[in-house]
Amino acid sequence: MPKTSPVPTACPKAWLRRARASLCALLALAGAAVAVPAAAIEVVVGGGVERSLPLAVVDFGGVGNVELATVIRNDLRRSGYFYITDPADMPAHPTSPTQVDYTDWRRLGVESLLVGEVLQGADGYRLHYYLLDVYGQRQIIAERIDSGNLRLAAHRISDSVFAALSGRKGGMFQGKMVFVSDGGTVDQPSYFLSMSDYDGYGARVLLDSPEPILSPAFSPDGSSLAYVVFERGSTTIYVQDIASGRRQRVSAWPGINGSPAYSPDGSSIAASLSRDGNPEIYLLHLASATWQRITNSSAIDTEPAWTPDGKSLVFTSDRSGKPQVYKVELATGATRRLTFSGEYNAGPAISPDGSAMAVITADGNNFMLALLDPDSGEVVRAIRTVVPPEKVGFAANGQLLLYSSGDRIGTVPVTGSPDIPITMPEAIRPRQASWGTR
Amino acid sequence: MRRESPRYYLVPALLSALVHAAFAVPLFFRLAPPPKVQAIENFSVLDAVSIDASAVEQEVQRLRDIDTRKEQELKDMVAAAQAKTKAAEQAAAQAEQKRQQEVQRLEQQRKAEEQKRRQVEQERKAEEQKRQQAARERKAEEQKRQQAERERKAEEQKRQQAERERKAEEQKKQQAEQERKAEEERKRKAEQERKAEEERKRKAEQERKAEEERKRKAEQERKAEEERKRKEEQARKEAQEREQRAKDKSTIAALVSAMSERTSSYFNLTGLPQGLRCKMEVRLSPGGEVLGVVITGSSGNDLFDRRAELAVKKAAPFPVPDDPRDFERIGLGKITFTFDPARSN
Repeated sequence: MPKTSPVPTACPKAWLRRARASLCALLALAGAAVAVPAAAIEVVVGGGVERSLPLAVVDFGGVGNVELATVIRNDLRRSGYFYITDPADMPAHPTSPTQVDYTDWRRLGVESLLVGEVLQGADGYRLHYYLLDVYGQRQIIAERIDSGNLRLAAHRISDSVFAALSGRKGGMFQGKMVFVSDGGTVDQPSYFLSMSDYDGYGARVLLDSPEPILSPAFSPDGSSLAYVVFERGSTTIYVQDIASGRRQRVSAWPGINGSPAYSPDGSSIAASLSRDGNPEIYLLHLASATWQRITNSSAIDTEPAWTPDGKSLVFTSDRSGKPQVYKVELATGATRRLTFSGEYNAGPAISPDGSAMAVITADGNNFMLALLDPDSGEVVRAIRTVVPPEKVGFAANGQLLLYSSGDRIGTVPVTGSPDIPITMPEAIRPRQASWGTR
Repeated sequence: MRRESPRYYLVPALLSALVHAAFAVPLFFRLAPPPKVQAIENFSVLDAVSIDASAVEQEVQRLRDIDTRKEQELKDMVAAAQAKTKAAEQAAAQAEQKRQQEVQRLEQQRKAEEQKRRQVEQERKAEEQKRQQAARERKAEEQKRQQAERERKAEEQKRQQAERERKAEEQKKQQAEQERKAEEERKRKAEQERKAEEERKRKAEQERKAEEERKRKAEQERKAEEERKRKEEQARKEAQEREQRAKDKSTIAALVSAMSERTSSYFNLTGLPQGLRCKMEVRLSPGGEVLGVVITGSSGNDLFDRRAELAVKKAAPFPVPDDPRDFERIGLGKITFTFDPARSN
């Protein structure tokens, strides 16, 4: 049973001593106690602060060959919302609420505590985990998970914890990632299209190609991929069913066939084609295999991305002389420029809830990420990454960004930090990474 | 004379009977129950006076005189009879001689005389019958008289009995009257005592009331004095309270400001949507520790409420007055926290 203990009182801090001293002075004036009817005192707390949420994830008890708590800690650390207690600092290692002494954790300033254990089940593992409110001394989550894959179970727990403590939707840790890597030799290079967990673990190759692969993108339901392959000095867009591995060439126009992007309903693919001269944005209606030209300018129009309502596209165009992001309304063709800040804004991505847009921006030669208001184009936040980003995308919950830079990929929360690389086995140098939206 | 001899026996016998009767009469009276003097003696002397005693005495005397005279007459008669008897005996002896001579003639004569004698005897018997009748009448008269006397005496006795009863009744009445009077006297006295008691009580009541009135007045005066003092004290207190309130007000303002600032610095808005507010009741110990938090107005967002509660708990202990009485007076034991991030702190 958790012990009931008052909030720690030892060692009043300096500010408290000061406050008390001034109060003493005030009350000394008041003199002897005189009965004055007490009015209800109301303390209005305005404002607040934004800081990391102190969280301790205790190593799970029980069986299993995965450092479950480590996976969870890494997931949650990536979100940027938490200050994760170093396991070395933990006062105890409870695995169930009954073993928790809340006082210990409050002393550390920990606000939330995750404990649990893994049991061997008939068809895999059975996990019990508890998210505990240290100051409220109550359970925020108590859940049982049956899973054959402990890593996936850990990501699921991370999503639940994130949602419960951050106030944001979860779902980013259970997403899938698709990326490109290359191998082979200089004389005989080979290129791989792989799919993995969101963090690069559990990768499996979907396509082994002697030609370079570019711009892989998930279909909204996650069952298919669209990607570009250099073939015979040209580019081709393929759509591949993940489960069966069967692929279909959907765009092989002369010139550039690039930047495929599934519409939110999965019925069409936007792409940049140069079949009519310079690259323009087109729509491929999958059911009818018909094409619809969207843009018509003398400049390069590329990198289309959908608004979540499926009614508009944002894209990169250098029609103003430098790459900027534009928005076109599909029904009317009405187009307007969204980005005015900085001389370079390209590669737009819109969060699944439509509330934010991310772009690669550059001020001089300093390439970085920028979060913009998708309607006004105003910069909400500029995010400097360890390496200059070339491509950016949102996680399914819109809270985490995945960026690619050369042969390095990393994640950074929309809040700006921390910027954490996705590490792969030494031989794999991932590029052109993209997360699925579910 | 010889012929007369049976007569000679008869007379003395008669005389003897008469004498006996003469003695028997007074003897009868003597033997008769004497007047019931004893009963009379039971009466008081006063009572005796009322009886006609002299009449009785006279009557008794008269009866005695009669007796005495009759006795004398009988004696005289006896003496005369005895003398006659002697002369007769002498004559009889002479006569016997003559009688023998004259028997014949006398027989004749005797028969005539027998006839005559029978006639005389008849006459005598008639006379005797007449006399006896007279005696019977006399006796009846006497009996009647005695009966009357007895009746008179019974009547007298009855009268006396009635008189006694009357007197007893009278006595009883007197007794009753006496008792009535005694009862009346008792009642009168009781009434008198009651009245005296009432009077005493009335006086005591009067005194009590007077005492009460005196006390009431004293109490009134005391109260008036007290009221005056109370008002003075109240005025003094009110002044003190006004002063205290003013001081408390600034104390509270300082405390509230410190609490708000302190709590705000712990209120983590990370990830929270905008436009939410919540209200909670916080119980504080005199040391400024948070004893309990109750959300009284939820924001509708569980995380927002939880973060607010967390902020209060992390911000504790809060600055409080050193004197627990001040803490109590200004109502720090239970205070309301309103979290409204949209307001500046």
